[in-house]
Parts: sequence; structure tokens; C-alpha cells
Amino acid sequence: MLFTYNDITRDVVETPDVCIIGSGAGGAVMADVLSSAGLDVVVLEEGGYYTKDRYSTYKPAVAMKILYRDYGATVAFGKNPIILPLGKAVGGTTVINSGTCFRTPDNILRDWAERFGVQNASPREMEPFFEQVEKKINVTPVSPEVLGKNGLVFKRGADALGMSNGMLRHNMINCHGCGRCAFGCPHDAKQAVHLNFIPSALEHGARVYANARAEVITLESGRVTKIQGSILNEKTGNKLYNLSIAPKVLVLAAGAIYSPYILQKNAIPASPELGRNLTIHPAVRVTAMFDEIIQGYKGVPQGSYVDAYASEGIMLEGIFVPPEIGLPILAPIGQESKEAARRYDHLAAYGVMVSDKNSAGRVKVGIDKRPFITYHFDPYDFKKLIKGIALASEIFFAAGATTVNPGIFGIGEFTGPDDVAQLFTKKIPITSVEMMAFHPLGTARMGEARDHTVVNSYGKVHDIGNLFISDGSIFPTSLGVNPQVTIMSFALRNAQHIVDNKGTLFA
Amino acid sequence: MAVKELKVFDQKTYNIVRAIADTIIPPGGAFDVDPKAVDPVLLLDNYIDSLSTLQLKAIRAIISTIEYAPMVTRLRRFTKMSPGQRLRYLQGWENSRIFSKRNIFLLLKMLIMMSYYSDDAVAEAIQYHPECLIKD
Repeated sequence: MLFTYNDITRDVVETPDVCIIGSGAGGAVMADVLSSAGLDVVVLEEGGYYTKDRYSTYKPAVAMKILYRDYGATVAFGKNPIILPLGKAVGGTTVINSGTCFRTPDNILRDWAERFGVQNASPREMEPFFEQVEKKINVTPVSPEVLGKNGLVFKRGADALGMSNGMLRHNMINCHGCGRCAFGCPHDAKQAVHLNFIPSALEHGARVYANARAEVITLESGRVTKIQGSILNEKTGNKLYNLSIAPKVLVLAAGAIYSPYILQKNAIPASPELGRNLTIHPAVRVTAMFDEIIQGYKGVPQGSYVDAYASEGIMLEGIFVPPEIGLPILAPIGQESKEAARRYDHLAAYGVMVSDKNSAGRVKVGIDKRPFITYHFDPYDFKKLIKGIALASEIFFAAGATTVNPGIFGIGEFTGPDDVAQLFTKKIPITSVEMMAFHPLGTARMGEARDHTVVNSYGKVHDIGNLFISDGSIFPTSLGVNPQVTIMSFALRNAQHIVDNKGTLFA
Repeated sequence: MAVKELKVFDQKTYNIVRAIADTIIPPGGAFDVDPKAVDPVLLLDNYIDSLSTLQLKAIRAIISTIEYAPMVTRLRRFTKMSPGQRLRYLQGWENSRIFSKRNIFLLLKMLIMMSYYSDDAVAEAIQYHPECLIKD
């Protein structure tokens, strides 16, 4: 059964085998596997339950208010504040992500084994989990007919320069190319986990509580004994009822920001590394003007990629947002704002993402008792970002752009490819680049090297007998690619491990 | 103009934000919509109603700073300036070499522009017609 605040008329008291906090990529998969193994599972999700009938009616700005945390503007503070959009709904960030699917790169899995002692997660050992996940969420390459012109012009430029590129793989069925992946797919073509793993878990008897916020975790004799929280009114955010869950096992799947936060807030004695080592996969947007009409808001916004420099940690991936989201960042004030709005149909945009090799951040409990995120962007990674901006600019000119905006304060629009060189000759402070990031990971690293990890190779928190973490926080390093398949595949693997150890864990 | 449907702003704050909005997106120019039909400040007021108390305080502080800061150098409040003075003053925020000043203004500009360009009349005026590539 799935309950929303509308269905609940009194305090909720449950004593399941497993309580899972969070219903996104990590939590939904856990719920499905554990419930299908006969375990009694309760899932708590702070966000609401939304279907296409609801979110297809939302304008993008409204979707950002309803489906995202902090209106889509969660901030990582540092020299340069970085916007970090996070989903808040049954299905978590999979409801509002781009749908892009990558397997964990082999070199990353090997690195985790070598440096962090992660066991039984070699490329060969992970293969069956990747396959199962990809089958369940229907991972398939984006079809050219729904790519849209924004992706096509960039591909044209990359082809002209001989740069390796291709169509991204997405979790989708019958995509219509509506350009709304980030605001809830209006056709439910994007196979977010509330369309597959959650319904499957419900069929197996799991109970999912939407609008249910976990607040207090009680630990006794090294084991979690109780989770208390609130059922919230979706419209006002006010508390309606109390929530009290006493599970045999707790799985935290609230993401790389909220999982460490809730443990810190409750003073759970985990490793001092908890909350540290945050990687976010920093990104910038490069835009270009074309004489031809692009209408980038039609088609899959993130449908194609250029991976010519992936080995250096630089990935270029499509990105486009509708005018009410794009113009506030791109258009200057005054009458020029309106000129920019009229030219929006001629605008193309592409994203540059860099692996955070040396950069890292931290999650702490802030003075307002909310998560406080800091992030140090290292000059080495910043150089990669500048190189990525240069590559995207060159590709746009090769595709026929008339001007390119590198998105750097103090550096105007480029009017030809020769202008791109100034990215390497001028001193560019980190604070002059408007950045975003979409893939927070790493705040509860896994591995057997206990001095610098928080959970073991299967996501169990060291020294706490019945507490697991199942989300992006367990990955020891940046992936360099979009993480949803990695999160789901490790959740599948770790859930299977819990099932295999049922006798011990649920005695 | 007294606005009765306000949820967050009081009338005085509304008036300041309206002056800021009319400077960021002035009437006339490349396209126009009836200013009586589109009120981005009312949309903004309704949009931010579920922000936390701390976040709303921060937004009010930004608005007050924009209104009163010119009294130091220009001896008049923002709302008492001419439209040309207002534009130059806000461009000073937008293009400030001080990173935090630039970003604080960006936040307010984003909220106002997002509200404005979300309006159906404005979408029509800029001929923004979101459609799927494959029709049902």
C-alpha cells in the first residue's frame, strides 16, 4: 500500500523487518528486493506522491517548487556557491533527473577495490546487477527522432571536429521528446523508480508512506531501535501525525546530503569521515546563438554526449531548459532582457561536467538545523572545467554558431573560434564561473579500509549492527558519469546481501 | 495599487519589488504585454510562500538593501529614482566586481524573471510554444 497524508487519519506505528528512509534510486530498489524476499518493509518518503496526471500540468517553475528540495536551489557554499538540485518525491531524484544512464566505469570499480578495499564489486561481479537494473528500467539509446535540434547541432559540430560523440542511453519507453525530463515526464516515458521498483515493492507487500519525514533515530546497545518522525501536510508542511517505526534493520537512502545529515543530527556514532569527501560532479552551461531556429526546449534535453576527453574527466552532455528557467540566468536586465527572450528559439546549450578529482565538500548540521553544505573547488579541477568550456565553444563554432557565451563573468561573448584562446591566456577566477552540480556522492564512503570509510563493502555502517546506507553517499569517489544506474545496481547487490544474511540480521 | 492577494510581502515591500521588476523587465521594447494583466511580483509573492522563515528573511533583507543602499551615495531611495537611474543602479549590482553582490542580485533577478516568463501571456508574446516532438 502507498499512503499519502490524505490517507492517514492517526499516528503511524509500525514494527517492520526493514525501514527504508528515502524512496529514490537506492531506496526503491532495496524495497523491491527485500519485500520480494518475504521481508516486511516500510518506506518513508518526505516528498509527496506525484503521477503524470499531476506533474504534467505543472509549469517548470511550479515543478521546481513541488518536486525539488529548496525550489531546486540547494546550495553548496564555498568560494563559488554551487546550485545542487535534489528531488523530493516518491521516486526521489529519478523523477526529475535527465534519465541518463551509465554503468560505473571499470577503472572506477578497480580504484575502489585498490584504494578503499571494496570487495566483490569488480566489473565482472557487477555485470549481472547492471543487466538486471537496465532491464527493469528499460535502458535504451535516445532515438534520433526525439533528440531535438539542440543535440543535433552539437553533434554536427563534434563530427566536424572529429570528436568522439554519441547518443546517451536513457531509462525510457516511448519517449515523445517533450523536453520536460527535469520537471516530471508528462508521458511517464522516463522510467523513474516510482514506475517500476516502487510498484513492484508494493505488490510484494511493502508499505510506502509519502509525506513522511524521519526525524529521530534511537540507538541502543549499538543497534537502531526506533525511528520517529512526522506525517506532513503536503500543502502547508505542517505536522499532522506522529510516526514511530521500530524495525529490525534500518536502511538510509536519503541521498548523499540527507543521509549523513540525519545521522549527524542524531549523533549516531559513525566514522569521523561521515559527511566528508562530498563529490558533486561540477558543471557549467555553454550557450550559443545560431541563425537557424533551434527551439532547444523541444526534444530530449540531455540526449547526446561528447566523450572525446572523458579520460581526462571531462564529459560534455546535452542540457536545455525552457525560457522561464533559462532567461533569468542568461538575459541581462532592461530592454535587452526582452531582446534575449525573442531570440530564445535560436539559442543552443550544452553542459560541461568534470570529475572532482581533487575537489571535495562536506555536509554538516547547520545553525538552522538544516544541512549545511560546503565545497572546495580545486584549481586542478577548475582547469579541466575551463578546458571543457573551450571544447564546447569550439564545437559550437564548428556547428555554425554566430556567437558563443562561455558563461564566465568578465569574458564576453565569443564571436569566432579565435576568441576561445582567451580562456587560457586570461586569468579567470573561480568566482567568475556560474556553476551547478547534479550528482552528490561520497559522504559515507564504502570499503573495508575502516580508517577512511563509513560503511563496509555492502553498505552496512561500521560498528552498528543493523544500519545500512543505500544511496550515492557510499561511493568512494566521483564516477565521472551520471550515477543512477550505479546507485540502483549497488542497491540491488547490497539488498541481495541482506537477504543472504537474513538469518543473522533478523534473528 | 493595493494588492489584496499577497501572502508574503506587505504592501510596502510589494511596491519596492514592483519597482525593481519594472526596471529588470521594463514596459515596451521587443514585445509588450499588458502590465495590468501580468504581475510578476504577485506571482513571485505566491511562489515563495513555502520558503523557510530564514530564507524569507534573507529575501526581505536583499530587497531592503536595494531600496536603501542608494541613500548613502545618491541620497535617495531606489523607489524615488527615475527609471534611468534605477536601471543604472541595478546594472551596478548585476555587473559588480564584488562576487557576493552580483550573486545576491542574481537571486532576486532570477525569481522576478522566472515569475514573469512563466506567465502565459508573456509566453505567447515571445512565441514560446512548448510541444513534444512526437504527437500523441
